Parts: sequence; structure tokens; C-alpha cells
Amino acid sequence: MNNNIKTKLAKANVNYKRALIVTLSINVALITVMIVTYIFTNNHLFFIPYLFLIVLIDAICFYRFFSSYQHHLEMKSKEVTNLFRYLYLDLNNQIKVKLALINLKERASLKMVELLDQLINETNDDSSLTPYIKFASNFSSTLVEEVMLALFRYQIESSPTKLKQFNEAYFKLKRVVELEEEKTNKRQYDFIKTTAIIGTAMIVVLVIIATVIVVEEYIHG
Amino acid sequence: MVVDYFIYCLISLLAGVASFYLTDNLYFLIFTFLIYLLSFIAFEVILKRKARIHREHHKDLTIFIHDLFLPYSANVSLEESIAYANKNVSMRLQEEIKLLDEFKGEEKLDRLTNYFHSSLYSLFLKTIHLCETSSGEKIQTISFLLEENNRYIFQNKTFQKNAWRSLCEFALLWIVSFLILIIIRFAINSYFSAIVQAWFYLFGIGIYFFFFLLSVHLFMYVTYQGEKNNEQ
Repeated sequence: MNNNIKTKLAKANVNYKRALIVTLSINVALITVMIVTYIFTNNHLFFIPYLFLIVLIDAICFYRFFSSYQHHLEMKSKEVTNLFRYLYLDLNNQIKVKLALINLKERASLKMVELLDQLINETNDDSSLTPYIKFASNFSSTLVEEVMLALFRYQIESSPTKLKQFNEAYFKLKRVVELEEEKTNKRQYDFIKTTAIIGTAMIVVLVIIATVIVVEEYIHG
Repeated sequence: MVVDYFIYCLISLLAGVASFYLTDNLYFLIFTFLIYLLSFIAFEVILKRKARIHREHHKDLTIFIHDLFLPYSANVSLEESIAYANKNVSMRLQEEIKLLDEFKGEEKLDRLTNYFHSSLYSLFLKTIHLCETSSGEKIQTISFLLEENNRYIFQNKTFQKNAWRSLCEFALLWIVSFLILIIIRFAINSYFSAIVQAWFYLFGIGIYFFFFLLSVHLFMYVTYQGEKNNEQ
């Protein structure tokens, strides 16, 4: 499982060791400050806000690490959908599939250029569907596979019907990626709104503890 | 921009006053006010200014594309279409285009890439290139780009609407949180002077206001990132 996490983080360009070191350093710093505060105040109740901060920061760090892979997949889907726009333009202007794929390299990122190079080289030796499916397997969305399948069909038979099928597959992928983006944005805002509720809970707990301290001091004189 | 700075000052002042009301400590008011104001100014300088420029350029781009294709799709030359599109854009873009007077047609448009920095502009250049060089359906090619342009405008409007709605909900939740705080302050009025002496209480209030500041910055950052993603 550890290797699975490491692989996913590596794909998302997050250095696993560096991420762990940063998280541990923040935890050690907070624990040190917590101990120093306790030494100065001699009040064990100070542990509560520090422990809360440690839990909060650890939650944010781990959420960031695990969501970075998800974010990486979303960005890849978005990049490939944006690239397919140029493919759409080229194919609908009677440019051949191979040339259209080569033209894509001008607009692609380095990693995408590698994948495109692999696809183009493999289609030179293998005229089957395999290279197209292999390219599509790099993306989480199954609709990319549909687009590549339609592209393969158009390459075999360059008819208006096959072109129309490619166009439909591409527009379907585009719409799904747009909807996913809207959902991600909404999820982010929902998460931020919960911070207000957390803040309110913090203040209620704080006042209760402060009241207990005051009552305790009053009782013990 | 003046409105933004006014809002920053207002939020900082309200946070400062609230912290004073909860702690009876003037230093708390000054410290909270200064920390809030400085952090907002830092955010404005580091991120928001860049976002504002980017937004203006993107607005120019959508107008430019729309106005260029109106005559261009009716077989007017590219140079004349650029001149027509130049009329409704911002002064900054007009000056930028004026500096490129020595270049013509596609070359002029290529040199505007540094001004626009957008994948939509890249698509626009590709469309122009195809229209100028290939024998394919010009109208279909142009209509695809215009659809993308309209999609950007629509997506941006939807994003703004969602951002405003989220801001209202976010603000309301924090207002309720502050109201609860005020009510609690009234409730513990009889022994408030004793509580306020406790280090733990002051420390907790500090954490609360820090948490509020973090929450506001997170909201602003997500909005900034969302706008940036929309325009790419």
C-alpha cells in the first residue's frame, strides 16, 4: 500500500520523502512550542489548542497529498481535452490523422509529447487499435478511450460518418470534463464553508474550558 | 481596486474591534488589525493584481475574437478584420497592436501571444491559420472557435455566480459564529473580568482569529485559482 501511495505521489510530481519531512518538521515544531508553553505557564489545558492545531495541519497535509494525485488526473483529463480541440480542427479541415497527431505536439506539455511520440511511433509498426487504447489508458476517463476508438475508425475509413462519430465522442468528453471542473470547484467552496462551523465549535469549547478554570480557581481560592 | 482596499480595512477593523470586545485588551485590537491588514495587502500584491491583469486581458480576448470573426467570416481580409476588431478593445490592447504596425495578418496575431497568455488565443491562432491555408469549411472552423469563446464567457459567468453565492453563505456562517461569540460574551459578563485574565482564554481567542483569517485567505485563494483555471 505504501508503494502504491509513493507511485501515485510520484505521478503527481510530489516527492514522498520531502512531503513526509515537511509534515514531520511542522509537527515537531508545534510539539516543541507546546512543551515550551507548558513549561512557562504550567497549565496542561494549553495542550488542547496545540493538539487541535497539530491534528488540523496534519489533516490538511494528508488531504493535500492524497488530493494531489486526484488533481493531477483531473488536470491530465483537462489537458487532453484541450489538445483534442486542435485535433478536431485539423480533422474537420481534411488533415490526415497522423499529421494532426504530429501537429498536437506543438501545443502539448513535455509529458504529453512523450505519450504522443509513443502513440505515433507505435502506429507506424502496428496498424491495430492497440496503440490508441494504450494512449487512452494513461487517462482516468473512459471517454478518452471512446475518442481514441473513434479516431482509429476514422483513420481506417476517412468518411464523413466516421468523422461525425469522432466529433460526437469528443464533445461528450468535453462536456463531462467541464462538469467535473464545476463539481471540484463546488467541493472546494463547501470545504471552506465548514471552517466557520469548526470556528464556532472552537470558541464554545474555549469558553467552557475557560469557565471551568475560573470556577476551579474560585473553589480552590 | 479602491473598493477592495476599503473592504480589507473594514474586515480588519471589525476583526480588531471584535477581538477587543472579547479580550478587553487594546494591544489585541492593534495586533489583530495590523496582521489582518498586512496579510490582505500581501495577498493583493502577490496574487490579486496578477489576476486582475489576466482578467482584463481575457475580456479583451473574447471581444477581439468575436469582433474579428464578424467581418472575417464574411470574407473580409484578415488585416481589415483586425482593424475592425481593434475598435472595441481596451486602450492597452490598442496600443499593443499599434506597436505591431510593421507586421501584417497572421504574423501580427502571432506576436500578440505574449499579451494574451491563454489557450483560447492559441486555438484562435490555429483557427486563423487553418482558414488562411486550408481548403476546408471556413464557417465550421470559425463557428467552433466562436462556440469555445462563448463557452468561456458563459463558464466565467457561472463561476462568478457560484463564487458570489458561496461568498454569501461563507459570510453568513462566519457572521453567525461571531454572533454566538457576542452572545457568549454577554452570558459570561458577570465573571468575564476573571476569564479575560486567563492566558488560556487569550491564547484561544488568538487561535480563533487566526483561524478566521486563514479561512478568508483560503476562500480568496480558491476563487483566484478557479478564475485562473477557467481562463486556461
